[in-house]
Amino acid sequence: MSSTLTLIPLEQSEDTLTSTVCADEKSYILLYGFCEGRKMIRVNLAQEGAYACIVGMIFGQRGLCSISTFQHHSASYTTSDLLIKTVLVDSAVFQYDGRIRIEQNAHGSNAYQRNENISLSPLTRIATRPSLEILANDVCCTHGATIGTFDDEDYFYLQSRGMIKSEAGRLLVRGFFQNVIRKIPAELMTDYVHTILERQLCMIPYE
Amino acid sequence: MSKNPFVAQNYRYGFSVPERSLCKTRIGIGEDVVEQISRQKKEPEWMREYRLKSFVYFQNRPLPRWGADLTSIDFDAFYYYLKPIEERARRWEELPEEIKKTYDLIGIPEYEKKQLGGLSAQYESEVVYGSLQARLAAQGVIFCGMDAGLREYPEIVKQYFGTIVPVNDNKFAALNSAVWSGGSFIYVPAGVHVELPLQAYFRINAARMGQFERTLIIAEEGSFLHYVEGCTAPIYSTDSLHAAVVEIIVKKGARVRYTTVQNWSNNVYNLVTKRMRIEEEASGEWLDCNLGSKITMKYPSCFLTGPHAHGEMLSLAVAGRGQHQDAGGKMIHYAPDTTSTVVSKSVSQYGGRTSYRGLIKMKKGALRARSKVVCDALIVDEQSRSDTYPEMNIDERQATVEHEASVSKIGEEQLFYLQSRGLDKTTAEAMIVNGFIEPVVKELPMEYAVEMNRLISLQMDGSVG
Repeated sequence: MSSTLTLIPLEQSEDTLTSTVCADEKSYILLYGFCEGRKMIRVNLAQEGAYACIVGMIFGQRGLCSISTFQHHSASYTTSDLLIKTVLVDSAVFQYDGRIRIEQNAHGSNAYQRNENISLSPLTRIATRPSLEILANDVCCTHGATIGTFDDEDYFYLQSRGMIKSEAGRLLVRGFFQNVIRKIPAELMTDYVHTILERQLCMIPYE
Repeated sequence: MSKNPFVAQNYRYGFSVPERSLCKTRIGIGEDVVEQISRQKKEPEWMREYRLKSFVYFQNRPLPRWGADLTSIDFDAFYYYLKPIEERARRWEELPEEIKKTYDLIGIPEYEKKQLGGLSAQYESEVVYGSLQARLAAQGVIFCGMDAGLREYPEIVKQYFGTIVPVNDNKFAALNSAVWSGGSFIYVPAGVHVELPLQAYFRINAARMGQFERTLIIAEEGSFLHYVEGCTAPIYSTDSLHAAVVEIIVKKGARVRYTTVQNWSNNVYNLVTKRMRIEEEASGEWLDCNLGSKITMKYPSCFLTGPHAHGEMLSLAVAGRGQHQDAGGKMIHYAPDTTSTVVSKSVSQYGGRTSYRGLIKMKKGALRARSKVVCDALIVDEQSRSDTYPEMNIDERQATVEHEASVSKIGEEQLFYLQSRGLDKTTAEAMIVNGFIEPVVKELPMEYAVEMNRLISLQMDGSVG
């Protein structure tokens, strides 16, 4: 069983990316950054036992960024797991289209998809549009999406402990992105992944 | 995995009685048919113009390019208007024998009528029977066919008709606006609580029939209403078309619940537009059960226009052989502190296909609005299919939206647990399916819940203990 981690900075990536995962292979894909335009990420699970995990740490300030993902299961006992988390400040607009298709022969497959969005400015807009097409019956497929903002109580708690508001916001965003990072197994983890998170946190404005 | 269908496949309402017609338009549709319907009903001029305008929209609109495949519909293969009797009956005994027999067979017995605040029965294109408790009538409640509503209360109808679902909303709403006939008109005055449900039965008897009922419900401030509709049709080898429009206005502090038990036969296209506007502190609820029809496309919507308005949607879809249930709901939040919940349960079996298609929209200014959507799907056998297409558009930062969906078969572990407690496999499966749909079924009025339990009854001839 071989595991790989692919980093995809949205600003520099191709508009369409296709990854085909082979038998008994574990493929991890990390999306990060934010860019104007539309990106399509497609994962084909066409061989028995293939596993793909797509995670995203998206931090947007300005412009419209649109991401589509497609988890395509066409072989039995394949697994895909997707977690994309987005934090928007200033006037960023984010669109997410997440498609899962489990073909009739892909019995025993599991597919998960989760998209969580936090908006920190009144000018942001978010649209999320999942679609699940399940043609097999011996499968498990779940999907979840949330859109919201941090509670005033979260800020209050941290501020009552002596933090200024922007610092508190940064800590909350760090915590929000933490379980994205945790999806990546320890042996594939690099310092660079942490650097990406720190760089994104630096973009949260001081109010 | 058991191959038995989990929901009984034999359709009880597939019988038909000889066709009865006093007036029937030619087969197909055209301006002449629209004119003829309007003339037949002796309608005011504005309604005739409204119909003709709608017909133009209908002709110009393309079929929806998403959702179920509707290209097999031949609009020239249906009869658009059929009048079965001259005058709406006020007493059950006045109904012609074959119509009475039909309703007896469907099971609208006398005792059941006594459980209701009012009853309306539509047969083909017209409402043939209508009743309302004298006590409710004395309080100013109006419950009659839409045609009678237009004749007797033209001011109210003209003020609200087509304001919630505009003529050019979609192709089928335009078609309904052009050729509508029958449906219910309900007006509940301020502060009046209609304790017992008002119920309407829709029946298509003739072959190649199109039924286009039009319902308008106005609930004034602080009132309460529960409206229930049921639909059945005979089985023919030719298709029938049902395209209804339902418009509901729920004013400040009022509450309306609209329950549908749709059990058309498997040759009916069911393409319905249903929408309600919910004003300040009011509550609107859709309880939508789709069991029958060939193709259903129906997305009841709530427009939450006043602060603290609440919208609710409970949806149950069951698709068997040759069926596609493309159902869901829309919640559109315009005002602060509005809340909505959507619970959808679907079962696909025998090669059927269920799709949940939903939309949650938070407009700018919907401060602190909250919405939660839960969709669960059960796929019973290998030929069946289940889709989930929930969409969320959020323009307001201070809004919270949650969505959860799951698709699965009956869990091996659940089965194992029950079997280890001594239940045989079939009983265990029945228990799991019943538990799966329970959250929706328990909200149904008593007589429908009993009916639903019968329908969801499992075939018990599988393995024995």
